[in-house]
Amino acid sequence: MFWHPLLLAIISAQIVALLLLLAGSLTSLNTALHWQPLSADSRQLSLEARAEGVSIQGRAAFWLSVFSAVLLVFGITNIFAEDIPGAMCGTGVCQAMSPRGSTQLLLYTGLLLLLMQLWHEMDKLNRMLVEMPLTDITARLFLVIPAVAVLTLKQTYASFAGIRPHQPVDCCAVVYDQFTTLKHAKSILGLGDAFWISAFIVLSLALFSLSVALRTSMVDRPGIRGLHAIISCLWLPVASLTLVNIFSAYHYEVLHHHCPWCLFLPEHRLVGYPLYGALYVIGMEGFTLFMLPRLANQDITVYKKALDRCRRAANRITFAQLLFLIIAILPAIVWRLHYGVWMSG
Amino acid sequence: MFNTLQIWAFRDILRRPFESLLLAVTLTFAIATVGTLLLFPRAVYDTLTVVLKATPSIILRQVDPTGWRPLPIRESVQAATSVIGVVSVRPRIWGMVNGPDGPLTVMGVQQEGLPEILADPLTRLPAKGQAIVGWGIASHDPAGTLPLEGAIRQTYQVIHRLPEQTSMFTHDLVLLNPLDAQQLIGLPQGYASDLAIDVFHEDEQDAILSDLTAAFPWPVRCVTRRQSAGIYAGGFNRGRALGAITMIPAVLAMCLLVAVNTRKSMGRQSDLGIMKAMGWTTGDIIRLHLYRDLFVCLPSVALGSCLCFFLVYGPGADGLAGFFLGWDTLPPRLYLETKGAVTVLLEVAGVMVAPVMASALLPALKAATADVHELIEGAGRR
Repeated sequence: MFWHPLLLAIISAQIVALLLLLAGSLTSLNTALHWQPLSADSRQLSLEARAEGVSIQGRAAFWLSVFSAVLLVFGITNIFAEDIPGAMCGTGVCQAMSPRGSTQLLLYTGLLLLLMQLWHEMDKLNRMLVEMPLTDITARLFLVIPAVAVLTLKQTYASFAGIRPHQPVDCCAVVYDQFTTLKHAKSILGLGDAFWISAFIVLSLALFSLSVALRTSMVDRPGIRGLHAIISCLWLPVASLTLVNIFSAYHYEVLHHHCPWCLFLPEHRLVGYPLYGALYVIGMEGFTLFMLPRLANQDITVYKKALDRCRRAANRITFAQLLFLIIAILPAIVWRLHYGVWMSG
Repeated sequence: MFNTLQIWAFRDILRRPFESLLLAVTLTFAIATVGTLLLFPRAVYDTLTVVLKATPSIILRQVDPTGWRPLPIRESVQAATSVIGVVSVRPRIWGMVNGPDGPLTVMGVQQEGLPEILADPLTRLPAKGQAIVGWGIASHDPAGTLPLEGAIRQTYQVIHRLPEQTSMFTHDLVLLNPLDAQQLIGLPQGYASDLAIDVFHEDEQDAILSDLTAAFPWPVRCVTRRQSAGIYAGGFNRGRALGAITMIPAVLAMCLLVAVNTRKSMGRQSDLGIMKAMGWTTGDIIRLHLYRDLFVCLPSVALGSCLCFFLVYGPGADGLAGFFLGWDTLPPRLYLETKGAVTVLLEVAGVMVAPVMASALLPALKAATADVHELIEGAGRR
């Protein structure tokens, strides 16, 4: 077992969040079964008061989950590598966990945050109106979250329990063993860098234009929102791949070091945090923008509020994308201006 | 500056000052204890990291089945410099000998190749028959001599004492003239104990190890700076984790105390029902209660953190070093890096503050979501 005080802090925050979720899920079950907004009997009044309580519990659990996820990323990228021989960044830590364990841990954490973000947005919309028209649907969504929180907690323990602190790892080997030839190193999934750069430029322009368009009255068009969701889904993996395989070289000042975690290191000015933070914001806000109007279309007043929230989401996506582009591409442009060539020739 | 709810919460604290004070004092000491348990080993580790930064990138030794053995200087330097990436090679003469109060580390020093970390504190180098000693070595002889016994028995004149600030790495160190050191340790002429090798880039330490090992015609063992740091980090962090685990029952007791206190104060709050009847929402009541707890907890967290920083970096370090590490003499000055300080604060927040705030939230929520009619009736009964 891998012992570190930061891991205790992560598990402690996850347990507290889970307890809050479990405490709220009983009320949510009652709400999902017996919610009758047109009735004014004592059970309904009691449910209304308790639903407000669940909202507060859920929000506390949401912020605790965000806190534990931030601690987890901070630990993997900057702290746990100190204890694992041969580990220099998060790649070494993930290697020590076993690749499957670390992938599952990150997936569960991401899924938990995604669900909690959606619930949080629905809950915010619900609280804007006295009638609380979305209480029923938020209660149903709330019931899904504790199951994912349990899985995340279990996976956190299982992943770190798999680490043998005295067993050395070689994270550079993981990074460089991904390719056997130079040609292989210059391609992603068999396609050359030129293809990915072109795809990145086209998708970035499309996402930016759609996000700007959605800040206007066009947000009311489900087709545009759907197109935005598709472009977001395509842009996120393409941006991640081009960042790790192409743009990161200008941060590391070394070619073919395709490591996603080294960007978080202090020697690379911690650029991983704003870069992946921007990707996270785009992913979460894109999901909110697509899902919120679909879930809140039962009531016209709520739907209008949901559209206002979608406009704000489009704003945030625009700014996050600009931040990503500036931090990811600026070093490459500076390099080109300074040396007159791109690093890859 | 403050909204109505915050002012109301502050006045609510003043209604029961003794309870709030008791909670604040308990929380302060709990955070100070947990913080100290987490901060002290981290501070020692960060200090070691600072010290290790000034050490050579790689230490190379010749080994045989019985252990390590002296290296021929000329051939070793030639072999090491032939490896691409090596920027400097320094043969070192050092070993362990018996002093008046126990074993001591002896090191031969000369102007060329003087370790960077010793360059500042040294105003002059020892000549033949002279010694410079570390802070932990006391000279029993009023004339300032130091008898040492290794391959030969010899007494040296102590000419200088290394400053206290360097005692983390010079505590039991005796610096001698290289020839004196060679004779005392029993090294043959032209041989060194090991090689200190520096590389151009930090990341090259691990990368050139195989080339370095292959460049020598005899078996060698290399230890990188990063490996040394890893060995210390593993030990300290496991110690910190075990220390934090022993505090979990105390944190749970603290949470129960906060929960009972919250429940009691919410139960006694006769105006809760009236507030709800007047239109206060559950959210307003919870916010009021959270503000009240935060007004008590935030100064306690700040005070507790300051206390643990004061204990580790102030006069308390003496006792802590004796208790945790068995250092009898004055401990060296400890360093703390930004990453270490942030980590400790996050650990305290995760292990201590989050459970305490949740334990305050749950009973408050239960009381605040109670039926208005029951609250008013309950208040009437009291």
